[in-house]
Amino acid sequence: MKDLLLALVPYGLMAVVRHGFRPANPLAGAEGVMGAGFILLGAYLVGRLIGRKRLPKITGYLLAGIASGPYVLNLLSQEVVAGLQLIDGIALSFIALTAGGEFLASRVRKQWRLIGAIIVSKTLVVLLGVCALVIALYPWVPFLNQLNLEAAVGVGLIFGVLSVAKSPATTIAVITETRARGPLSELLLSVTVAKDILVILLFAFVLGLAEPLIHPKQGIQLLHLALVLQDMFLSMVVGAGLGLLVYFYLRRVHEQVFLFLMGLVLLLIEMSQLFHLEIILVFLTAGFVVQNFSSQGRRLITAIEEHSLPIYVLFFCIAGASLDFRIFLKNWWFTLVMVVARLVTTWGGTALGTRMVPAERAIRRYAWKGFIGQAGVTLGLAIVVQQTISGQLGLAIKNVIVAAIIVNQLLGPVLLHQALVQSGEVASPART
Amino acid sequence: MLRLLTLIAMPLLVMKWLADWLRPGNPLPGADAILALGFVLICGYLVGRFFSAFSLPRITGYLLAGVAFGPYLGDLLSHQVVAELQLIDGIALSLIALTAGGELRVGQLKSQMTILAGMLLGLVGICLMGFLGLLTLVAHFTPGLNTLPLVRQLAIAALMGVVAISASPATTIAVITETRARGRFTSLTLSLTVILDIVVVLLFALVMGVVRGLLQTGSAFQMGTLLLALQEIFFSLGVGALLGYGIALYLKTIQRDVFLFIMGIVLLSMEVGHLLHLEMILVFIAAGFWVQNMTPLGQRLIEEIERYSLPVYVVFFTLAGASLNLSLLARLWLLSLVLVSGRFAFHWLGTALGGRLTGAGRFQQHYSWMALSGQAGITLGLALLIEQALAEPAGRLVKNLLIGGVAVNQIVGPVLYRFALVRAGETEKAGLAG
Repeated sequence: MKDLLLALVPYGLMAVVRHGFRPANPLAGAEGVMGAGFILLGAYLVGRLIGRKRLPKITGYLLAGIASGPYVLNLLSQEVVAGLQLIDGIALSFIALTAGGEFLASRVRKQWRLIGAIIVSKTLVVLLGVCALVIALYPWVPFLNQLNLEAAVGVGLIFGVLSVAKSPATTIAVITETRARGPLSELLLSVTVAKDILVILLFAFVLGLAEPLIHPKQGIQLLHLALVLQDMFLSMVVGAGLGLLVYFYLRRVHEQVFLFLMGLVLLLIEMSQLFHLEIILVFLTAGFVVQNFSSQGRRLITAIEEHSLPIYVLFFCIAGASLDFRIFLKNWWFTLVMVVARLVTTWGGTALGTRMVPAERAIRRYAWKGFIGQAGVTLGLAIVVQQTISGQLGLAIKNVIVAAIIVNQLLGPVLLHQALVQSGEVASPART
Repeated sequence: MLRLLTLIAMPLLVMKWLADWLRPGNPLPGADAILALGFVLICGYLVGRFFSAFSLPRITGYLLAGVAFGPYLGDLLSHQVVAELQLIDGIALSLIALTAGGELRVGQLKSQMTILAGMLLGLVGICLMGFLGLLTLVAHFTPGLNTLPLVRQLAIAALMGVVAISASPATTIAVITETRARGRFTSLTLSLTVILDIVVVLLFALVMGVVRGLLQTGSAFQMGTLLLALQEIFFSLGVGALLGYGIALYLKTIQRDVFLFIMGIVLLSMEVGHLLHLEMILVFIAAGFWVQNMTPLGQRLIEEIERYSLPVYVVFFTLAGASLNLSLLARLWLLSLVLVSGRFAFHWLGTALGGRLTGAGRFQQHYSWMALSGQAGITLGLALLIEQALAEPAGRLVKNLLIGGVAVNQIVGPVLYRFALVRAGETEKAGLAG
C-alpha cells in the first residue's frame, strides 16, 4: 500500500507539470531530462509493485511506459520519447556486452548438439509454419487478397522470418533480474546469442528471396545479403578489437570499469552509425572475446550488472511508451492469428528439437517460453521490410508486425519469468 | 605510466580523426554530444589518474584535460558541444550539493561555530575593504575604467569584492572525496565553503541593491533585490528540507537501488526547480543536511552517492575545464594576475584575522584560505549578473576580468587545497595511491 502511494507521487507531480502549467522559458532540453527523471522514479516503483505479483519487473516498466506514454496519459510526449531513444543504443550495447560475456565457449561445446538442434528445428518449423498459414489465409486478409499466389508466398516468408526473430534484451533482462542460474537459463542465453546472429543473416537471405516474388520484375537480390555479410564481418572485427581494449583496461587499470565501458559505448554509438556497424554484434563479440580469451569475464559481467538497473528501467519504459495501440486495432484479428501461430510453432519447433537431442525435463517443457519476447531488433527488421517492399503493402506488413510485437513484448517476459520459476532456477521468487 | 598514456592516446586519436577528417553526413540527433560525452568520460578519467601519480589532485587532471581538449586549444570539444552538455553540469552540481549538505553535521558546526563566524566576518570585511582599495587603485591605470566617476568605480569595486569572496563548494567536496580526508581541518573548511556560498548570495543581493541605488541617481536603496534573494533562499531551503524528508523515507522503507532514486529525483527536479525559481544547489544542500542531521541515515546516503560519484566528477570538471575562457585570460593576464593574488592575500588575511580573534589554531589560521581559493560556476553566474547590471563597456570588462580570474583559480585552487589537507595530515594515504 505504501509502495502504491509512493509510486503515485511522481505521476502526480508529472501530471501537474505537464498539464497544469506550460513553462514560459524552459531550460534547453529540460523536457527530456525531466522525462528521464520521471521514468526512473515512476517506472522503477511500478516495477517493484509488479515484481511482488510474481511477474517480471520489466513488465512493470513496460506497463508504466504504456500508461505514461503519448497514447494514454501523455505524460511523456512523442518528442520526449523520440529524444530519449538515444538511450536505446546505450541499453542495447550493454545488453549485448552481457550476452556476449555469458556465452561461454566451454559450456556451448558441451551442449552444442542440443543448441544446434533447437535452433534448426525451431527456425524451420516457425518459418515454414507461419509461411504456410499466411498462404492458406491470404484470400481473406484485407490487405493481401489482391495478391497472386507467388506474392503471397513472399509475404508469408517475410512473416515467417520475422516470427523467428526474438528479443535478446528481454531474455537477458529477465535472467539478470531474477538471478536465475541453471541448465535452462544457460541454454536460453546460449541460444539467444547464437540465434541473434543467425536471424540477421536469415532475414537478409529471406528478404532477398521474397522481394522478387512480390515484385516480379526484379531478380533475386543477393547483393543485400552480401552487404549484410560484409557489415557483420566488419562489426565482428571491430568488436574483437574492442574486446581486446576492454581486456587491457580490466587487467591494467582495474578501477571504474563501468565508467570506461560507458565511455566506449557512447563513443561507439556514433561511430557505428558512420561505418554501418551492427552495434549489437560489435558488443556481442567484445563480450565474447573478454569472456573466452581472458580470465576477466566475470569482472566484466559484475561491473555491468551492478549498474544496469537504471538502463533497463529507461529502456523498457521507453519501449512501452513508444507502443502505438492504434496500429493493433487496425488488423487485430490477423495480428492475433500471427501471434498464436508464432506461439504454437515456437512450442512445436522447440519440442521437436529437444526430442531429437535428449534434453533435461525442464528444458523440454519450458524452453519455448524463453523465445516469445520481441522488441527493438524485430522492430528494426520490420522497418527494413517497409523500405524494401514499397507502397501500401510494405506499410501494412510493417503495421501487422509492429502490432504483433506489442503483444509479444508483453507476453514474452511473463512467460519467460514463469518458465524460470517453474524450472526452479530462480533463487527466491518472492524477493522484491 | 606508459600504458596509461597509450590508453589516453587511443580515444584521443579516434576523436581527432572523427573531428577533422570525417565530418559525418547524417549524424544521429545529439550524436555529437553523446560522442563527446564518451570521450570526456574516458580521457578525462585517465588524465586524472595520470595526474594523481604526481600527487596532484585528480580533478586538476580533469580540468586540464578539459582545457586541452576544449574549444580554445585542441577544439575536440566545440563550444556547441560544451553548451549542449551543460545539462549534465546541472545534474553533477546537484549530486555534489547533496554530498556537501550531507557532510555538514550539526555537532561539528556547533563546536566550531565561533571560529566559523569569525572567519566569515573577517573574510567579508577584509575582502570588501581590500578590493575597494585595490580596485580603485587599479581602475586608475585601466583604460576602460579610469574615465568613470569615482562613485561608479567604488560601486564596481564593491561588486567585484563580493564576487572575489566566493569560493567553490564543488571543488572542496571533490578534493575531500578523492583524498578521503577526515578531521577537524577538513570539516572546518568544508563548513566554511558551504556557508560562505550562502553568505555570498545574500551579500551580493545586498550590495547590488545599494549599487543600483547609487548608479541610478535619485533612486534610494533598493530593498527589492535583497528581499527577493532572501525569499528565494528560504523557499529553496524549505523545499530542500521536504526533499530530504522524502529521501529519508525512501532510504527507510525501500532501501534498495538508492542511486537510481537519487538520480531520478535530481533529473526531475531540475526543470521543476527552474519553474519555481529555486536555487538548486541550496535545495540539495538542505536536503543532504536534513538527511544527515534529522535522521540516522546520513552515512548511508553519502556512501551511496560516493560510490557512483566518480563519473560525475569527471564529467563536471572536464567540462568546467573546457569552458574556461583562455583567450580572455591571455588578453587580460596582467590585471587578472593582480586580482587573483589580491584575492589570495585578502582571503588569507581574512581567515587569519578572524581565526586569531576567535581562538583558532595556528594551522587553521594560515591554511584555511587554501580551501577557498577555487572558483567555479557560481562565480561565473555572478559575473554575468554584474555585466547585466552595469552598462557597456565597463560591465563587459568587469565580467571578463572575473572570468579570467576564475580560469586561474579553478586550476590552482584544488592543488592548494589538497596541499593543505596533506599538511594537516587528514588525508588517507591509501586513498592517494588508488
